Amino acid sequence: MITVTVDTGSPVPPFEQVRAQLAEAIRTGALDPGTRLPTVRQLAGDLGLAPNTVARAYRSLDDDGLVDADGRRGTRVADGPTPSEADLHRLFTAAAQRYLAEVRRLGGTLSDAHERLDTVADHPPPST
Amino acid sequence: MDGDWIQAGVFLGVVALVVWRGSRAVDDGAVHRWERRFSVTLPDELRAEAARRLRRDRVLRTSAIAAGLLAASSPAYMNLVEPERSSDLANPATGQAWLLAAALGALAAEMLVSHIPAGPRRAALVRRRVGDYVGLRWVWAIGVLAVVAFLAATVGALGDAPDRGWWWVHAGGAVLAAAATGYGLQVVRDRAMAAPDGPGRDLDESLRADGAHHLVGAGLALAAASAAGGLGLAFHSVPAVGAVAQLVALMSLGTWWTLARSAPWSVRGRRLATT
Repeated sequence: MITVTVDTGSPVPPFEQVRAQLAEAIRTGALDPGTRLPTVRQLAGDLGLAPNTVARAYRSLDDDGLVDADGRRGTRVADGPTPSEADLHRLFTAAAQRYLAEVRRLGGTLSDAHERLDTVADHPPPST
Repeated sequence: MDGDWIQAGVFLGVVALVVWRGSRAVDDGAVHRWERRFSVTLPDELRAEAARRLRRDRVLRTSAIAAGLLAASSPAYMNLVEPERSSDLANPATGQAWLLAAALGALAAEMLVSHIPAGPRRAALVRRRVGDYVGLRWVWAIGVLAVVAFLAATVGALGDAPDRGWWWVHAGGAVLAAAATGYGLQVVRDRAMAAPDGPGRDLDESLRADGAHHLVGAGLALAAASAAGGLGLAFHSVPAVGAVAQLVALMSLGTWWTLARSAPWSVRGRRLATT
């Protein structure tokens, strides 16, 4: 059972606590695409929060492309969550670090890494 | 004169019986039967909580029914005090009072539940739906009966039935049945969850389902009685229609009893089946 916890003693605002936990559950796949989230009223009641607080968290997730808010039909986890710009930056950097580390492990240099990238970009391997 | 006293005594006896039955403690056997009905197994400490909640809800519901029965039997008491005014009270409004009160009592039992989260607040990310707690076919049945009752009562008001002046009782009963059921089920679905998982959640969900069944049962009985009254007005020249409608209303009382007392329901099973 996936749950959301709100610590009222935390300096992090409840809105951000809800948003961050939902975003994490969606990004890690704990919540499948298409899953209907609880209504704003239900989640706010269960967490003892004002409905506006939960609505704000849902709106923020909608803006990030993680959920689709569809009026009275409710809010669903988006089919293909679109990573935010910050997420993309983080993911690209991690991939570049892995690639560079592998080139160096094999005895290559930074310019070798650049050269290979250019080669691959100009002559992509046939798809299997 | 003796007969009047006996009649009033019988009515008061019925009211006292309802109050007594409603206020009895819920024993272990009853809680075990309730667990089987809703397919849950509770630890001992939650069984005590379940017994307390079930009794509280039952007291609220039966108190309302008892008040309604007192109103419905008011002609019998008036007969002892001012016999010439007794017939003033023998009308469709007092006759239907106990069903109106039952619907309001079932609604009150659900509205007067509150859970104030303490400490870190946790919520399960599961969307609750009315259909998790009671069969939607009953909700539709109430809606259809309420519409039929309202339309029939309105048509009856324009006709020449002798008691057409009471059309508003049947129309009002229809509106109240639909409103109490609709609003009550919304309360059942949306009120705060006592625990997000574990046996506490099982208890909370089962209590919701129990309340939803009581709400729908009382709403169905009221809507059916209103429809019977309305159709009786609209088709007063065709007594068979009124008789069939009254028969349906009587059958709805049996359905109410079954829904409220014994109809098995598994919230977990229902949710798995529909997701």
